[in-house]
Amino acid sequence: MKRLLIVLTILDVLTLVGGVLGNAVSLPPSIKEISWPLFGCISIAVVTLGVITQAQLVHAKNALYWALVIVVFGSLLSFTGWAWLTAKPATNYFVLDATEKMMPIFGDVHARVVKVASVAAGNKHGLGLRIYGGKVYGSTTGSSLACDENTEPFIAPNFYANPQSEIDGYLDDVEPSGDGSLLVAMRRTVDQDIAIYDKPITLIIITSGAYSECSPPPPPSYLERTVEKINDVRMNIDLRILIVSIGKLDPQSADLLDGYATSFGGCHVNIPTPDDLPQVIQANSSYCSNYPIVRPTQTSKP
Amino acid sequence: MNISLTVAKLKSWRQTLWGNTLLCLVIALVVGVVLDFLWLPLHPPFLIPRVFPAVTAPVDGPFYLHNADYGYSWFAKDLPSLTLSFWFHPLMSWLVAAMPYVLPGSGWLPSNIRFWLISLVFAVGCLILSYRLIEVWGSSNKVSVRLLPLILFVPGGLEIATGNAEIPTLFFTLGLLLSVLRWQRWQLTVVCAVLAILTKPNALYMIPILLVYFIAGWQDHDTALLKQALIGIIVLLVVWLIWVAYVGLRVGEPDIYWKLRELSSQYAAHDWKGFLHQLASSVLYSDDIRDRVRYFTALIISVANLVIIGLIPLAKERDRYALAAGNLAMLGTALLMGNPNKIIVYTTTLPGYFAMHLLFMSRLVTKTSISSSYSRWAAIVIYSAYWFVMLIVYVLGTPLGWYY
Repeated sequence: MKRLLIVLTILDVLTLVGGVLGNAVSLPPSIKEISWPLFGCISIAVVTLGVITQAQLVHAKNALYWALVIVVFGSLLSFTGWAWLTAKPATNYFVLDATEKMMPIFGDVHARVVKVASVAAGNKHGLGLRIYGGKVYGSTTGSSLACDENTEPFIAPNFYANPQSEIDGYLDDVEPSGDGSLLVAMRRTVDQDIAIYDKPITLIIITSGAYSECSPPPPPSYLERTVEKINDVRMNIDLRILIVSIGKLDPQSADLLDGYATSFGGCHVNIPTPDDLPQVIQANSSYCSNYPIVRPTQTSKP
Repeated sequence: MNISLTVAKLKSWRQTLWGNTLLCLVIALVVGVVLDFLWLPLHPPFLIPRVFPAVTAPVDGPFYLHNADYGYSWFAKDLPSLTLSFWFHPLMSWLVAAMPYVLPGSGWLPSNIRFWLISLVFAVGCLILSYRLIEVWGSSNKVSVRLLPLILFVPGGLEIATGNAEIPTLFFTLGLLLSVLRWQRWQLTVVCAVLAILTKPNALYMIPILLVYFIAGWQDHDTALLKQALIGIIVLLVVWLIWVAYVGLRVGEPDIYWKLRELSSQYAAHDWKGFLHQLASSVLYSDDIRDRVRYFTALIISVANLVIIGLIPLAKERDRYALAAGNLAMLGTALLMGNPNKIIVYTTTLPGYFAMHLLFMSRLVTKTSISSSYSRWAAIVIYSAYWFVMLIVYVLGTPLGWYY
């Protein structure tokens, strides 16, 4: 018993010293990131064992079990505390279809996106915006560009004091027109806007129900490369992707958007009108976390 | 005379295991009717197939029915259709499809009613076997059978009133555990392990439980226990791998089972870091009650289980560690996959879950079991509050999608 106590005391001191030196030593990033909750857990384990040994509880029937519970509970608490301090608010990055097909609903979509940005501002979320297709008042480019070139960033992803007026102001100048490619817009977003961003991002792609690609569409290798880029980004940040299509979908468009969602590791939701947009976006974790099972299926024989 | 005889008979029934099991079933049926009315106007914020009456196959029940009615989607090419089919192990779908052949006349019943009836039969078996497990733990003299109907109201206990695959899994895991501890017949161990893993992959939580008994058998030189535990572990793993290989062969993609399983992680929080960050973000940066409930219940239930396991009277400490091992496996899986979904119902698949609650209830209602009356009342209040909160999570969370 005495020997065990000495070993535990030495361990305790070593853990303490290790915890202090942990920052000075170069640890692998994945370990360094969690070094202090890890230190917390080891300390809890060592102190618990020390206490039960010192109190001569090791032979008590239940003591070792409670030591286990304290260690599990202490570890959960340490790591939850760490998560609490290191959690970052997500940035809602909108990729908006401003092609000609969006013309009838663009005004409504604009209003709903501003509403979403306003609610998100209350939850300290960041904002970003890119459009594809469309023409900007006062700009000489826009619809004069080739279909697969017609996309530009409007608001760089960041945290703004007044995101709703930022997005409102920019969208006021956009007139839906021409064509554009959802896939190209997605690729540019990943390459140019979020590759160097270090906070969680929810990419919200809003498109009309109509076929969302240029003719001819980008080659399959373009999609593969985009997926690779998305996976690269995911190595560094939490990236969630939600594709929202508005209006009745023809089978070709539905397949295309479902295919994109599955390839990007995101989800696709079709809504009849822009009115449902705020609900879908705000409940996006609900939709996305259940994406593999939310498709309506027949449950009884016809 | 007749009336007094009937009253006496009823009173004597209330002292029996079967009498209380039937009472529990009757209460479950009444609760089921109430739940049906309550669940009718409620729906989750996403599209998911539903059946009527809702209690016959809530949450993922319709997917088992789809497999029963139409068979597995062996030839589907898209990931969503494959997922809807192969996330679900086959036994319940087979039983639903086979029922008309075994029970003539039941063919006119819709598949969801058959699913529900099968679950109810397994529920009866679970209640009986849970009490038998308490006997095996050497604590039956401490538990009154009259407490049995209260099982309905422990967290996730209302599953007994619904059609689901968790209660049948519990039946087989209980059978497996009793076979390892008491009956010790290898044929029974094999059958229970095969049926458990074919019902739900949750049966894999039995592996750490059986490992504890394997180690205990080895330490105590109890060869029979050691052998039975080893047989259970091997059969669970082998049958699971055979099913995985069979799915891969039939679909034409050897790793399809794993790919589909990975989706449950990909569309949740990815890993343990994501899990804890989502938990924190759900409070700090979101108003989404569903996310808060999902992530918090996953942790609360696992921790509460560990505390209850520590407080129940057990003759042998190995049983406590076995229960804890199953519970930690469930918590560990949720954390590692970053997936908090359905812990409130998954916990019911752990073989000692109902039994430990019965023992704990019994300890609380026995005045002499806790020395200080203040501690006893404090424990009763905390335990009741836990029940109440989890009852709300289950009753409202099932139709509103709060925990899945």
